[in-house]
Amino acid sequence: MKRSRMWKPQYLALIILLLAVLAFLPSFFSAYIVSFLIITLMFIIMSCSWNIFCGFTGYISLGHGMFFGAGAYAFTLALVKGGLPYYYSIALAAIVAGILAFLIGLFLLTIRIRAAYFAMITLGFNEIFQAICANSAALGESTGFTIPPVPHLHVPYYILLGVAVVAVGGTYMLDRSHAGLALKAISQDEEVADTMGINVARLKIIFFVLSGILPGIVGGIMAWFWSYLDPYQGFNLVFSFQVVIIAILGGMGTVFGPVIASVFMTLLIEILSTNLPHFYNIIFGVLVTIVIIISPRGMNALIGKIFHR
Amino acid sequence: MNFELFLQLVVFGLVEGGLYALVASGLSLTYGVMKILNIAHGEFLMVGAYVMFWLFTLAGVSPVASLVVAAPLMFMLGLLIFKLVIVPLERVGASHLVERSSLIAFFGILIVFQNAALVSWSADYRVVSYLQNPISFLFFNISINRLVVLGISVAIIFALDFFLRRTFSGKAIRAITQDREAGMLMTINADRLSFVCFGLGTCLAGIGGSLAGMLHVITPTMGFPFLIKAFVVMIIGGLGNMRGCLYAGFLLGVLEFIGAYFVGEGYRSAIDYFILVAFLLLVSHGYLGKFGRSL
Repeated sequence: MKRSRMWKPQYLALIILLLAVLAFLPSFFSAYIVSFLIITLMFIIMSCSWNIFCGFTGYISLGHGMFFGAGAYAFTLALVKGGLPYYYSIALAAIVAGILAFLIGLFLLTIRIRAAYFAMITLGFNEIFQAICANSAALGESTGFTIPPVPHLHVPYYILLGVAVVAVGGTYMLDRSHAGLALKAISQDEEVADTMGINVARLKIIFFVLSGILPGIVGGIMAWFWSYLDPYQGFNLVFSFQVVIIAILGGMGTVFGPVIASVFMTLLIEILSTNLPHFYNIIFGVLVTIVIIISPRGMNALIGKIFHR
Repeated sequence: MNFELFLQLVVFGLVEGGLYALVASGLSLTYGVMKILNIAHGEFLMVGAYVMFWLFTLAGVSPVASLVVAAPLMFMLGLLIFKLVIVPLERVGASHLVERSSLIAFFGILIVFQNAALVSWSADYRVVSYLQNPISFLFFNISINRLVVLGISVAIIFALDFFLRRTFSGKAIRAITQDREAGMLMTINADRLSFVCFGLGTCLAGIGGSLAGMLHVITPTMGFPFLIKAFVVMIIGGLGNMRGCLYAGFLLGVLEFIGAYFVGEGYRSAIDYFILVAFLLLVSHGYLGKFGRSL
């Protein structure tokens, strides 16, 4: 993905064509396909937003599900208890997730912290929120909430498509902006980046907040789509891990890697879980391990290697 | 809360804490030497617990004697996984890349182990009843198996501490933990030590699992909470510092029991994280500077 190559008109035409196909797809296909596409879009947005902060700076957050959960809870409380219309609820979900990311960023990113410790502490926040939601009567305890169903499957689909375009486009712009370079400098050597005059803490917090807002929106929409929410669905640890796996499989800090890996993984999970329900997790685990051993730089690099030989 | 109840909670906390410290010692050894966070550590613990369970149920081997079988078995399993997964990963070079990709690889192993256990041994809760008759001391009662667990874990940790402080290979391990490159310049074969330490780490996880199986129900998903507790203990205790691990384990165990008594059992897993977050907050601001060195 060299700078000059991406702006060739045929690539632009390809992207516009792809978007047009995606925009018209739900009108022609069954609800099953649309639901599958919604799940795929969810993974694309989650892994892209993870990639915006974690992929570029090298800090691995294992608890990105907490923003998903926070958004889901904010949306549900606003919709079910507050009686707000869904677009306000989604905006509220984004705001709550953003504020949460800001507070956690203030707490974790202003100090110098090892990547592995950052990973485990973010995972811990996910667990803390899950415990709080499962034990608090105001937040529905472990039974959670039921939510009025979506008016039509197209509504969450188009919202998610819009957010996904923003996420991928945003990553693309970040990749060639000054801020993207600064974030990559942080991933290589934070102290040197600091000495070179980059305001490390501020930059990290800004992009941590940005990468927290998108999962908040997705969380709200997915809770609506599933039409129920409980702490184990909202703050799902396995889901947090899946997002990280997809992003690293795709290639950390690349623009299209997470997208490729999201499509690959959702297809894989769908095919394996329908055909081999008992063994699909085992095969899934083996495949993930094998892919990362073959190509530690991710599928983006793997595909690049295959096509440019 | 009266004094006797308090003492009872403290004693239970100490037993749990000794177990946490034992699991954490293996994690700390592998993370210290290789800088690879083994998130499948809890799964090795689970396998150890099942080895003990089947030996006890099918062959009638006592859980303590089954350690003799479980330990070398888990050691071999660790060596196998090192050869199959870590060696190909390390061929890439760049250490930060290895740290990230190993996280994914170990997550894959975690999924495989957990689901293989689920498929082959089902999700039933398994219990081993062994030496459960209580004996009473002056102010509290304790069952004999808890005393046995506490005794074995403390003994193993002190043996490890002796090994790391007094023997040449132990000193080499500590040197590699502090600075891998400098250690290699002093002609320490870091790759071979990593190999052995990984085996030792899984072996300790397996022993921890066999002991945990004596106190808790055995399920395919029992491992992950232990990984989290071991991680907290590892950070508070310091990398490669076995006695630190033991004290941190005791601290965590006691605080967990007392905390769960006050705020409710549902918050037990969250308590660990509150302790971890509070500790890191204190350390990063230098209130506990002398502990901060190990971070």
